[in-house]
Amino acid sequence: MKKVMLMILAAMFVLTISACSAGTGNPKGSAGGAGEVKTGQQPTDQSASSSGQPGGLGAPSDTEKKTVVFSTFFPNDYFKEAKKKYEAKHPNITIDLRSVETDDAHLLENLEKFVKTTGTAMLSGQGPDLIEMDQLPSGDYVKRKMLSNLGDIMEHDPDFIEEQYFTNILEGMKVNGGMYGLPIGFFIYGLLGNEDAIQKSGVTFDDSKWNWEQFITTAQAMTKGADKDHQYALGRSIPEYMTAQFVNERFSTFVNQEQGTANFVSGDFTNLLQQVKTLFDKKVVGTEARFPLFNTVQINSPTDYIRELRMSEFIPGGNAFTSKLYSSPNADPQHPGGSFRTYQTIGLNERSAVKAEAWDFMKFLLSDEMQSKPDGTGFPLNKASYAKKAQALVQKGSILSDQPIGPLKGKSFKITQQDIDDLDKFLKGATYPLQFKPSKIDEIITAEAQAFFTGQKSADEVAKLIQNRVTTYLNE
Amino acid sequence: MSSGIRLLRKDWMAAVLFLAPSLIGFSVFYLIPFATGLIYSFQDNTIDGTFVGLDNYQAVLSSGSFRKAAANTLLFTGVSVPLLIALSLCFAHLLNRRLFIRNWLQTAFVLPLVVPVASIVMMWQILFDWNGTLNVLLEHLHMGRMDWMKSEWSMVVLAVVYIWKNIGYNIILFLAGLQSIPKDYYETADIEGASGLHKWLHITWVYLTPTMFFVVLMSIINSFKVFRETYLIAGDYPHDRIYMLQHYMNNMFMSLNVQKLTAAATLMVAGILLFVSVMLMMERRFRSFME
Repeated sequence: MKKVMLMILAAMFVLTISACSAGTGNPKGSAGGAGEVKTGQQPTDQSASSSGQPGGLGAPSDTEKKTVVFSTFFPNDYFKEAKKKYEAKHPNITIDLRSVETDDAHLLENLEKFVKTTGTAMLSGQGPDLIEMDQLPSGDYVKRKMLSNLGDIMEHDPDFIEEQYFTNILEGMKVNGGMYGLPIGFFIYGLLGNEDAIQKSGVTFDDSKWNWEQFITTAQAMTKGADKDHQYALGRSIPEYMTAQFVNERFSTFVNQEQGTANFVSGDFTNLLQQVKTLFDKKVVGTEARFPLFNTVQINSPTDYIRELRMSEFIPGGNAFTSKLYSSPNADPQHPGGSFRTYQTIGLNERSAVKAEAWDFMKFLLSDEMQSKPDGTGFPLNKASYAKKAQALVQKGSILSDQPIGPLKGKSFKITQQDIDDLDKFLKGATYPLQFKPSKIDEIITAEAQAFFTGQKSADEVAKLIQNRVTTYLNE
Repeated sequence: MSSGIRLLRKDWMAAVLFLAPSLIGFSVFYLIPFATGLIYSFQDNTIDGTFVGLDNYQAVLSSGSFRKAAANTLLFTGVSVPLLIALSLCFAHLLNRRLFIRNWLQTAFVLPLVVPVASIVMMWQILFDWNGTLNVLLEHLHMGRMDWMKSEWSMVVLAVVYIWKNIGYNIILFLAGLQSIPKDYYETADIEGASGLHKWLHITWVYLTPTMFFVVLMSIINSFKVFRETYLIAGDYPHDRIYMLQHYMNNMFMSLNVQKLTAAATLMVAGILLFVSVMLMMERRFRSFME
């Protein structure tokens, strides 16, 4: 007996020492303790109130004292204000906003801690009721069934009218038919083109369905014979990211997630690397381009759109030109559409005991009352709020430049109804979600491809390394 | 008689009291979490999970990356531990003679142990980076550069780091072991006219065996610890030559896959348990042989 004990102890000793240094910590230790705050609630209440409509959550209680814990990484004024207003309307409900106080020096460290503690809290069933998912691996959360399917809830909630929101965004966010988060706002992506040069070149194209290769050939035709400053087709792009983009366009060629195989050691991939390199070598694409024909842009708000659009008209030295927003090249010509990125996506904890109240607060966050506030970042998900914001801008007629120095200082940009109409097409056409964080495979590709573009390694060597690391990732 | 039992009881109580703090700490931080982990490894969910038998183990064993990690860990421990022990034993013998810089050498050997990991990692990065010292040297010799940490050589680099870091500790242990062997045995052997090899095999080796068991065990523990350096140098998905079991477990933890994590941990414990039990059995045999 003693012997067995000794053996077990020795084995434990070995394991704990090695596990300790592994830095994984123990998954039980750091659960956030969110559970004890939610006192005075009775889970039976929910089933009673939702009995009228199967699958739905029912109406939030307006008599019982309840606390909804809402966890975000960054403190945020929008949420603070929503809390104040919501609590004033529902005196029995408390919104417990939690965020991490951090400074720039400890940002990464605190972020890592936040991701870990939230993950463990969710695993132990004690996570917050509402979680801002932007910093968290939402795919893993969905896989572990930690988040409620908001699609179901929306369907059974007569108060939630989908058409009031940008349905293309809602549709685009679906994962295997389910929806596990609702964003407060979103950004759109596109290409800002030099309209003067495009008109002059006389080349026609259909930006609603072009892929990167078509884009490159078209843009090359347009820039033919242009001077040194204007010869680039695309600016603001770096080769590693472009490689990852190209790979994602033909993702199934390179990665078979089902079987866990990767196909990077192939002519396909080395050609792709070579192709990207040629684009940069031939100065079709480059970061050093002064006036490229197109620039990739992220548009954060109507105001941001006008600024990006009008800025080029104020370039001094006879280089001014008018700009126009075009759709980014797209992988799938059958399903045209632009890309978007959601901002402040909120998930609902599947194990929350106050789901009805949490969902009600989420609806409040997306209500016109909150969304039409002028200071929110991103395009509001609520269509009416967006229309109000846009209308207010048109009525104002112009916005001031936000540049504190340089030629744009103090300039004002004109806004017309036409601009807003143009933008509408992009807002309603955005269907491809970009993940808030790059995937592990993207990270590996960008990290390794860099060595090829700086000339350190050959395309074959880089392909082998990517193959090696991606295979490990796929087979876990 | 009865007072004797009372005294024994008193002693027993005292022992328990003295042991309690460390026992409680050990249970709370290691034993209980591990037991919980063991339960998780047979369930499909951390909350209200149902018993799924060996499904999680099957999932872990069918993962190619897990098998690779296990093979790598085994290979690393299997090669670098014997190498480390052989080297440290050699150095211990050298230092056991009268050398006038002996104290200095001893200090030099132990120094790597007290250097913080971050500094070690930085130093090795400077040495083995694409633009590192070693590659500059190779360039000078017109041999072409090598991305050490992203090639089959990465494990050799790790082995070198591991040996460099742990050799001092082992030397100290071996020195203590060597110095505790009574000098008379050697003198007697000398009088009997035994050869050097004969003396080493029948005196040094035999009397060093208890020390050897301890050193082997510690070296194995430390060989698992090399993950820390690997992770800091190469991140969570390194070249697959240095993808260790801890990488697998760490990544499983980050993707919240507790089932695979605990199943892998249990397998690892089982492996270590088996090894340690064999070691202890051998030691017991040896003890009875000595008596």
